[in-house]
Amino acid sequence: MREPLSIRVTTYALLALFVFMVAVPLFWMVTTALKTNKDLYEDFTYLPRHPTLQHFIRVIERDGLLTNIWNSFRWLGDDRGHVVVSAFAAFSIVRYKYRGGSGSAASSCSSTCCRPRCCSCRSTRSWSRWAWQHAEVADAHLSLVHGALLHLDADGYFRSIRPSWRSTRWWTAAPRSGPVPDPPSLSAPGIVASAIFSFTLAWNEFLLAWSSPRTRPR
Amino acid sequence: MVYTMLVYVMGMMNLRLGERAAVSTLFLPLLIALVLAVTILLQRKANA
Repeated sequence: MREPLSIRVTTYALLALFVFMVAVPLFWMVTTALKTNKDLYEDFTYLPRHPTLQHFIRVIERDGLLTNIWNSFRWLGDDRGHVVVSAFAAFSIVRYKYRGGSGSAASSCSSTCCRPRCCSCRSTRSWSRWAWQHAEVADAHLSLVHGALLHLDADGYFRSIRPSWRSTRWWTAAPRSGPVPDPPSLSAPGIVASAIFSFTLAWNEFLLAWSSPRTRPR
Repeated sequence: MVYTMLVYVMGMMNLRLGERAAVSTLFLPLLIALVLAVTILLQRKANA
């Protein structure tokens, strides 16, 4: 069944508007890069009158662009490492039992209290133990607003992976005995994962602010 | 300094708009290649 003409016209109009909104900044960026300084600052035109590559040559030769690109990839790898560590931490919370069974991460965890329930992967175990130790520090650095937002995001993400996680106890992976799930048991993986992620993000920001003034462009 | 900070310093602090746009434009081919690669991978996954 064909759609009515009005709906098709509206759809294509919205698509055209979307393409326009995306294309204009790209057009502006490319034309600005190809313009001379005279075209940019004195005689403004939408299209470059005398296209030039002087800006490209200048940023590559004078401003050390390749060094900055290399630094960008280093920071990218650092961020991906944080995500992997957070994922291992969430994995450990679900697959391992921790001594205590209640309370905060700082009070219930040590480097020797983890024991596997059903997992035979030793490397995963050591990674998750390391990540859990960092949760102790992250717990002290977690800001309220940032933590709440990340908690909502991470909790929904981890719960979407395995629905059976909704029936876990506080800090343990044992099946629930009560009929009604309590909110802390639902959100425990998300809280700890977001705490670790906040901690690593905070360090990322600090290292960025610490190292940036040392490599200012000439 | 990462390249996004380089763009910010050039464009916002030093007002070197042409060079700022040149840095961003240099990354445009990489961005297009990434978009194409992700699109192809998603289509392959959807067809599997």
